Amino acid sequence: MKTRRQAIRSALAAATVPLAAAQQQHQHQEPLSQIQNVKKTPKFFGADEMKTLARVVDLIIPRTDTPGAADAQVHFIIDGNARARTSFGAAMRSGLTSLNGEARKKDGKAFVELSETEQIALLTLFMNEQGASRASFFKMVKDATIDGYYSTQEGLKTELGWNANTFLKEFPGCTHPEHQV
Amino acid sequence: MYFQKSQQKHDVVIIGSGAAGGMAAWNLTKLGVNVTVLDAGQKFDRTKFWSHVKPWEWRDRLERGLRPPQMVLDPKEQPYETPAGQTFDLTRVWGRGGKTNIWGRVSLRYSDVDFEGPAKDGWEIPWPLRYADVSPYYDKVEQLIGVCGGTDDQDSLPGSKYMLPAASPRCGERLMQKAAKGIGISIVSGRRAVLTKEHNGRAPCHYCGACGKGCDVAAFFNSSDYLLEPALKSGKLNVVDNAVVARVLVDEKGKASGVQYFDRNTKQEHTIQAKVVVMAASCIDSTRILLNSKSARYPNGIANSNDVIGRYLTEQTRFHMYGFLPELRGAKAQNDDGIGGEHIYMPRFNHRDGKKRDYLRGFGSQFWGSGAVAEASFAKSLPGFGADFKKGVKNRYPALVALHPYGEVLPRRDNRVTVEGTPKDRYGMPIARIEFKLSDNERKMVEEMYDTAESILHAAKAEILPYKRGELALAGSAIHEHGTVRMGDDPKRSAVNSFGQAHEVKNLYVLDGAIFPTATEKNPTLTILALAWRGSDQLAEEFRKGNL
Repeated sequence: MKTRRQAIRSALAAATVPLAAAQQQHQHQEPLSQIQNVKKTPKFFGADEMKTLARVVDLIIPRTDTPGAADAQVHFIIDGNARARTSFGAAMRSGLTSLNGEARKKDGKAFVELSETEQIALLTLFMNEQGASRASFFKMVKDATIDGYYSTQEGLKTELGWNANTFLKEFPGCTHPEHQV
Repeated sequence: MYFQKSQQKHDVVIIGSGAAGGMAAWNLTKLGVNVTVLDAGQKFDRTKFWSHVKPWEWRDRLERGLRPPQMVLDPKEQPYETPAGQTFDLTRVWGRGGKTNIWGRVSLRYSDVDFEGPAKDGWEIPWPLRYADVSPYYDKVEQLIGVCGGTDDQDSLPGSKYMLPAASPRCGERLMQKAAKGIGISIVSGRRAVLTKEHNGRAPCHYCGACGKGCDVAAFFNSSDYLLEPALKSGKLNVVDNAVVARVLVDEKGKASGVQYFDRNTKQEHTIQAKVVVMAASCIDSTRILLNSKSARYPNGIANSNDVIGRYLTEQTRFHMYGFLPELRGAKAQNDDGIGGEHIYMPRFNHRDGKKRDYLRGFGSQFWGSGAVAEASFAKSLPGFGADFKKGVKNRYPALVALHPYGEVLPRRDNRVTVEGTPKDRYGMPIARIEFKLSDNERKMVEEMYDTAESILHAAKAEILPYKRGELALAGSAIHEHGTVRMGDDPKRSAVNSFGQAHEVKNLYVLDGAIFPTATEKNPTLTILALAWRGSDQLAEEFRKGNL
């Protein structure tokens, strides 16, 4: 049996229905599934590393009136990237270790046990170290958080308001009189 | 190895089915010639394209082990090499339609500024063609494939009366047009092979912006649907899929007698006899095959006694600059997908303002990625982190504009493709070695390209995203390789004539981008189609007269 799409396509090919009508029926591929609330399990990092990573991504893009990076499960996206590209994973792992090492220097507390102010101060320290490996770790985790977050529904759609990659009959373009040449 | 030899002598065998091969197959079958196309891949199933898979669904699918159709050839399957310290980012698509499945669709006519350039400045050989020779073919190609665009033509950007309605500019594009106009730079309507209305019975664009993943309704030209399928209906076309061509064969008279190829899946070797051989495997692959076609008669590769084939590799050099327009900061994001890519274009202007340059040739600019796009990687160049950072990203997101100037790279003898002493591919054939370096001419031009991009953004009062002046996109990443089988009137300095016919081997034609003696600053596909139409007209005529 033909699928709906095949039916539309053969209708288009045979031109037995006007194109415009066929176009209106044009359905975009159904999402494979709604993202289910299945409990995610890390594939590369250990439980403690995941806790630290979740906290770091949430400091970089925190929850405000919209979801933050941890809400959007960005630490799991990074974990998936780490498994796919182990050199990246190894660099992340060593950065997380170094972050916890620096955290413990004061009174032995892990990064996640510090106050938010202390955590921000520590990340800022890493960020501002000129040319050092700790700065490149910060840049790496920040870039990965940006790539991850703004490709999630929470980041791209809810936060930025992206609402595209969809069927439009017409594209109006800019309609603001003040923008015209 | 089992060696399968076909006894049948085919009329015309075409290697490759992209813009050049598809056009030649379509036109030749229309003119009554029997054609066999060898394609290194197979047909891509349009219904399986991930055209409307949202970014988060995309990841979800990958996690489930699903994959979109793999169109871009993995270099692990067919490697190429570059000298240490040099890179060349080569993109190849093996499969019916080749790169036209995912091409950028920018369709700019070359002008006499382009065709006459080398003759005027004396750098390397002149084009054997002028606009008047190509213009009738541009007319025919535009009517066939459907190109949208405006009427705002320039001496460096000829137009036509066959354009489909132009796509309306997005806010950021309008504002850049306005700002550029204020400083004497004209940014015109883009010309793109996208159907902004129903054309020749084909469905129009539905503005989903996913062209780069392949169009699920074929609303932009691709060689498979627009050329091969109609040609197959003629009964005069036979397509052999997964046929990876190794070399062109030569008979005792020095003419091309057919080709040797390997089945991509079984690795079985085949030969096919033909009266005429047409190379259309894309610049680098056609060149590699010709150089690998060595014989006692042609120790330097077929049709290459003058050592021209493989040399003069050229393309365009580019960089990317981004800014944020004040009028759009903090606005509500719009659906900016449009026809995918920019709706505007900055034609070359450096030839007409009377100012003397310390470099030859010129540049234009594209603007893809302006507006609300499906990512926010610009945020990586913004300082800091935290809630204010997040706010800053959101505030800038709808205001993003992007400039991508393309500057012509001069053809140089030592920028070249060779196969001498390179490792062998999985079929035992030497792989391509690509040597490619920029010269002072490009470095000087790039300075003006930066000045121009900055001046447009300054005129628009944009905040410019931090960038490093002089940092260029990877060589090869424009995907506009040319020059290695260049055309010309002088058989000593060129490999083929203006019809793509080899000077040395009359029944061997090359029709892809390799035959362009210069890259110009423009995207080549429209011109490849026009020249392949023109060349295959001449081929059919010569074939009919018995001259091949």
